[in-house]
Amino acid sequence: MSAPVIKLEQFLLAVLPQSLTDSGWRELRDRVLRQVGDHRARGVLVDVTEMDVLDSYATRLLDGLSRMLRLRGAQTVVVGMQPGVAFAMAQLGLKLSSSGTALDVDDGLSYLRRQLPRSANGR
Amino acid sequence: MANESTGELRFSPEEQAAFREYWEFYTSRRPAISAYGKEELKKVPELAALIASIPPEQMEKQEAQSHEMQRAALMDGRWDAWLERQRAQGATYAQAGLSFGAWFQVLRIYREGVRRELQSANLDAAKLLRISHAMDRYVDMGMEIIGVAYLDTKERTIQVQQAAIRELSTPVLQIREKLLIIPIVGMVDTQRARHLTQSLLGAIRQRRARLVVMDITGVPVVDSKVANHLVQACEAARLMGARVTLSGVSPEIAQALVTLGADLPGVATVVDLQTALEDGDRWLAGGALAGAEEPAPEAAVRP
Repeated sequence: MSAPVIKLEQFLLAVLPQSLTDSGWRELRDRVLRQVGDHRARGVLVDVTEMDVLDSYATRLLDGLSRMLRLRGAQTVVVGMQPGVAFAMAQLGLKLSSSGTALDVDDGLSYLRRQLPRSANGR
Repeated sequence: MANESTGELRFSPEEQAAFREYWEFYTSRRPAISAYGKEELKKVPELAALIASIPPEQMEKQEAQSHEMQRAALMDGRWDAWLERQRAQGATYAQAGLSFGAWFQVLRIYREGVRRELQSANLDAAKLLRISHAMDRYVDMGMEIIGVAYLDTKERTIQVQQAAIRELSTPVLQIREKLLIIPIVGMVDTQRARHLTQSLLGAIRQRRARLVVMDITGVPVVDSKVANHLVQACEAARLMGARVTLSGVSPEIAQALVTLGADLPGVATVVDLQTALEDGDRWLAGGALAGAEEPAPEAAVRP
């Protein structure tokens, strides 16, 4: 049940499964936080394409993760959110205020590249 | 009882008489009490290890000395040497790392040893009580003095360590023109944080720094207080026209800070010192030297 974390250029890509248990979530969080240091990643893409529901609890976890990643020097962008999920979140007043958002992994990558310090892009 | 100002002990003639009575009883039963004590002490692992570490000849000599000192105190009312010895013991065992609780084990065994003999001695009740009372008083007094010396020594050790830590205090290193590094190692308390901020600000002025990298890889614990200090240091630096980047936040500290809700608002963070320097070089090369106000090296600063 653990989510794969893939290194992509100078970023990490975490693909979340349809649903995530508490321990699965903790494990993912620890892994991402550690790997940001291992790869000196400047950003993390969190792919939520598979997820059908993002409730207030999951939102809080995601938000917490991006704040932790910020302290580790990495920017977070949440990508691939389904329209239904986005609609439900908006209705519930849930926001992902600590991370960027993008349509898919491609857009998320260009978002992160734009956030890099100038001329770090070629690293 | 113990006179704090002179460190002397004075007793009324009745009190001293009770001590004499106790000592006479104790010496009359000394072999049995001593044998019991030795057996019991072996059952306490910490004490057994301590006793085993002392050579038998030395032990014998110590015991003879101790015996004479106790006799002088209890029989003749000459307490000075005894007092001095208790203090020295407290200090020695504090330095040797003997736990405070071990002392109470020793006392328990000593009391128990004497009491067993008292029970079998067939004394009249009044005398029994007098002796028992004198023993309690004597033992408690010894423990008080040992305890105070023990804690004083521990306290002094802590003070010495604190001073040492302050001495190790944080250097501010200039590694490029206008770029300073502060590697923070060890615990950060309020006092140290203040000291740190002061030397940071002084260094910014003196070296005309534009960018400061604070590296906290070596800080084991960052709680909300420390986080606050870090934020304040960064804000103060900003008021002097320098940027501060924080590097080396470990996964554990990142989690702890976010859980505490103290995730360093307004402080730019990067993963390690290397990244901080790379970004810093880029930023300085990109016009910061000219004094132009550039955006942050990393979009890590967020509302």
